[in-house]
Amino acid sequence: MKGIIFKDLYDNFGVWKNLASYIFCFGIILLVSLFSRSEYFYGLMVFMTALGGSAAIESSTEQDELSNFNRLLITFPVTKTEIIRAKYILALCFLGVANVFSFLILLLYVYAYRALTFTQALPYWLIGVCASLILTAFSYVIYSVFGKRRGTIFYCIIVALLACAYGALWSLSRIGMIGAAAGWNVPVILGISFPVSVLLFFLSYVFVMWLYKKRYA
Amino acid sequence: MENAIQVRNLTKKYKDFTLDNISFTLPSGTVMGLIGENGAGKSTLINAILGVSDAEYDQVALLGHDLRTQTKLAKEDVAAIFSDSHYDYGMTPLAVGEMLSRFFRNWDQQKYLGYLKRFHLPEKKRLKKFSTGMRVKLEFAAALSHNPKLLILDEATSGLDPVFRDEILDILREFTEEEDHAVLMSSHITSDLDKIADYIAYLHEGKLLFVKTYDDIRDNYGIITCGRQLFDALSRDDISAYRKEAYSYKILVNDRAKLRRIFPDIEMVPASVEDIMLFYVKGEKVK
Repeated sequence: MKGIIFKDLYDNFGVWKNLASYIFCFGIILLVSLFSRSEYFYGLMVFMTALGGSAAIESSTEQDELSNFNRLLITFPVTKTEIIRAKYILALCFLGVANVFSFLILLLYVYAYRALTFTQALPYWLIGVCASLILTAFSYVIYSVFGKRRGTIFYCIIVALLACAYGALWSLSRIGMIGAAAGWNVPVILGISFPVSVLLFFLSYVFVMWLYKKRYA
Repeated sequence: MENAIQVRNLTKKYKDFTLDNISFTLPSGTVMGLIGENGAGKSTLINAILGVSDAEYDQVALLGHDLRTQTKLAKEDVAAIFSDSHYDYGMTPLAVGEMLSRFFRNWDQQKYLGYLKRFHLPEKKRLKKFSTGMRVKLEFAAALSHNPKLLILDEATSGLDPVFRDEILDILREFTEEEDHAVLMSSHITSDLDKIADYIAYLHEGKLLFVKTYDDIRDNYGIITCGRQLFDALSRDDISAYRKEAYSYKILVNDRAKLRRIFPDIEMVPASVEDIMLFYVKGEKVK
């Protein structure tokens, strides 16, 4: 499994264009965070970081498709189960790094900018963690089913929809139609979201495993 | 000495093709050429032996390890090289080595670097900038650097020039100098197999028609060009296949020595592996 993790890490950070896209993505987030100090932009940056954390599969899928590496990979002393498990372990590592990064943004907005309190900022971050798990679950399924080209199209559509949804939800929460302002029990909602996101992540793992074994049956 | 490959009653079914009840053994210390026309099932068989695709079988063992119950152990000492599957093009040879060192217990980095030097491969150049020949050389370097005992090649030399193919054959000869090493190679380039194979296995439409030693083919198979009279005079058991041409018959016979004793003046030329393939595919069987 270590070999697969090394290869996927190399595909993400050893190929210049992929490394450049990570630097660009997190650079933009940092730049916007430095210049925009409102609660709206804080939430946006947290969710953008969640998107960045779900990207590991795209680069490795692209490289593997170009070279048809999977056929060779299965001849190595590694089982199909271990191949998929390694990819999801790497996904969790990416999610961990991304959510640590978003937590640093939380600290910046709470303690440096004083744009909102820790109690106000934490639900955003927790939703971001859930969103990153769910988005990773979906992106792994999408790329496994559709491959790199169509997978990227679907991923972009999902991101665009999420961006629109964020704007709409923000507006609705400001006018008291949703969220705490509307009397929702936010901790309960968060309490349900987390296990649901973990469950979706697990179901994604099971499905992708089944698909991989079927593809190479 | 155990067999390098043991296959018993292997069947793989697709919608419109079936690899049907294949059984053969590859003794250690030998090279087996797997031949057959396009679509005969060579890659399907190799995929099934390597566990790339699932198949039904009574036994598949690689170097004495059962593929079903000892998958990782079976593959530890096996190296495969394909014509259509490579390392990621964004990687460099050094990165490939780093990756493979994490897969194989017996990975020898010094040996790998030695092969890179021997094959004149730049260590830090990305594979997308390699020529086809360079990629194949890298795959051989990688394959040989974890001290495998079994090499499986699926059309690994197709698309390469004769000079380079000759270099590859030298590498394979060097590999098989060890008594416990073996090679299974599928190839359309039967002239390469003429130079190196100890056994020839012929697949045709999903069926294994024969597995013969190369010496058997070289010493016994022959081609006779004759008229109807001689064709009728030959025993049906001696004719493997024939082709009726405009004014004569071309006959593939399987016992030259015997026919030479009966017909001392007959014109007979030795049959190559390619001749045998053509006769089996395009020729007719005696009824």
